[in-house]
Amino acid sequence: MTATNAMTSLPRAPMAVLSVIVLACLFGPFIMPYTAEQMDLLDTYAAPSLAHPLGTDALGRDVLARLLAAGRISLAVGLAATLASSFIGISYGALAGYRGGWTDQAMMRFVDVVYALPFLFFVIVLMVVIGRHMWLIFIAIAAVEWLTMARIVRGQTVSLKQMEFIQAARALGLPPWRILLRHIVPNLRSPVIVFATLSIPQAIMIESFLSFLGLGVQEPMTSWGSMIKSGVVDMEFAPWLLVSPAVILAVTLICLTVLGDAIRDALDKRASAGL
Amino acid sequence: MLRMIFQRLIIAVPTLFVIITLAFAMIKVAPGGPFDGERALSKAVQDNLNRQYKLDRPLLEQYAHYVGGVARGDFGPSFQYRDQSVTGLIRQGLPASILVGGIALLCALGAGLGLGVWAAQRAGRLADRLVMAAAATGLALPSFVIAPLLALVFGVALRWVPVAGWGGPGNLILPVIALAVPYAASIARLTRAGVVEVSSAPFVRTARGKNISQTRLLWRHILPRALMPVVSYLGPAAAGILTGSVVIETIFQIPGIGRYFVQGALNRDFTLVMGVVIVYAALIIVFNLIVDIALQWLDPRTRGQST
Repeated sequence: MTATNAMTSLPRAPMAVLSVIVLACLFGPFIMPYTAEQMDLLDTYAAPSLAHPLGTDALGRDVLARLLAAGRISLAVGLAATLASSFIGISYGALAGYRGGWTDQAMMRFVDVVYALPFLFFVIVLMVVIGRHMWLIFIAIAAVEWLTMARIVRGQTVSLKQMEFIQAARALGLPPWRILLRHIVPNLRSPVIVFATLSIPQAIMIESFLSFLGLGVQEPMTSWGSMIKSGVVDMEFAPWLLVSPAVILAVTLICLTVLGDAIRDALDKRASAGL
Repeated sequence: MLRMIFQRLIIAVPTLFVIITLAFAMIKVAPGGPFDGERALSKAVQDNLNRQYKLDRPLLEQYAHYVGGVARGDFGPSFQYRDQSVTGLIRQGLPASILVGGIALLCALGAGLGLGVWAAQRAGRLADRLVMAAAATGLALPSFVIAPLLALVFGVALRWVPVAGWGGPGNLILPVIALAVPYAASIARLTRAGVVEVSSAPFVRTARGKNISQTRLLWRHILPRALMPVVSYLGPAAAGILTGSVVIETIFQIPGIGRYFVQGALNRDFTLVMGVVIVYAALIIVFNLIVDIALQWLDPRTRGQST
């Protein structure tokens, strides 16, 4: 309930910009006269014009069409990786917090150790070793992002466990999995929503980072990160190849972060007001 | 204090050991050897190469050899740069990486602290809101978005600074800015929050009541308490600057270890990638240790204790 109330009081501007970007990426490719892969070798590196509002790239592909197709991938990876990391983090954190004792100690020590590692480097190594697949990017990002979620959820679970209604549930003899699923996890939704919102831009950032290094999304598919990568190469004579993906990625990240902050503030205010 | 340092060192050793073991396991799990090229090599050549790189020995022996080597600072031969050792490559690249990363961290700290305190003293006013909006923007933008845009504007369009390359101090400007911006933004936010919070604490009110100067109040009473979150953020910030430097070194063609890391990753040069990861991990562990010591020293409640 608190979460839905918070949704209605979000700042309008980033919400509107974000909606435009998401809708354009979702439906834009259907009305574009070009597809993202359609090449025109007679019209390479064309500067922005009426026919190609954002210009064309090294193979004469329309930059706007590619930008929208890339946006689908970047946004999808961000969402899917966040869902996956939230799932792992919630299960892990709730279990550690609820069991307590040495199980909790061991599980959280493990999180500490992994946290201290330069984990993104291991992700890169993993991609080098296993190869570059779409699903690997999801796993890689989820593997980095679940740690903070696990910590937050564990902390909340430990304090929830002390509450009367959980003790009542236990006194009634409910099995632990039922207490966890029906009584603890639903009460975690505020911090979970806040952190999940804030980790969507993080996930998009990691995906772009990997793609930028050439380790993420592979041709002929493209993402904003890989477009920035090829934009950097031709920056000196075709700056439009760099500017449009960099700007749209920046705008998306800023909007998502501002929204995440706003959701956090809205929920926090209610939390400190006695909820 | 000494005991704390000692305890941390004891934890650091197995952490490094885990990293080295993971590194070795990943090299071995990887499908395809380092010498799988376009053309299949003859059996004799393959065997010779394997013997030279000790790939024909039992796994356990290879592992012992690798760990023993790393302990002596020898990361083995590079699979791609045939005549060079990984240690040699890292030694070549480390100075440039540390120079850029170190200056970026110092700049982030300086700019973040300055802006944070400045905004906190004007809390709620226009200047404060502007700084915080700028910080929110800087925080949301990763280095690999800032860096090419900076290069485009100041290098290609305005020609104020060289676009890329290495050698003169002018080459440092753009990489350092691009690396420092996100962390300066974070530090500014943490500093502002800390100063605003501590300023309303009872002990600060007492100090104000004793009519001491504003400067002394800020430096002696507010900042030491307010900066605790900033100091603990320095550990993750250093790790983040290392990660960012991988991208920055690629964009600006800086001959640091980050560039070797990316090239090694793309070339499947496993020993090089692993060597760089181990060096990065060691740097991060050492930095976190320094941060922990600084935190203990800053907090008067734990300063005198020997826990």
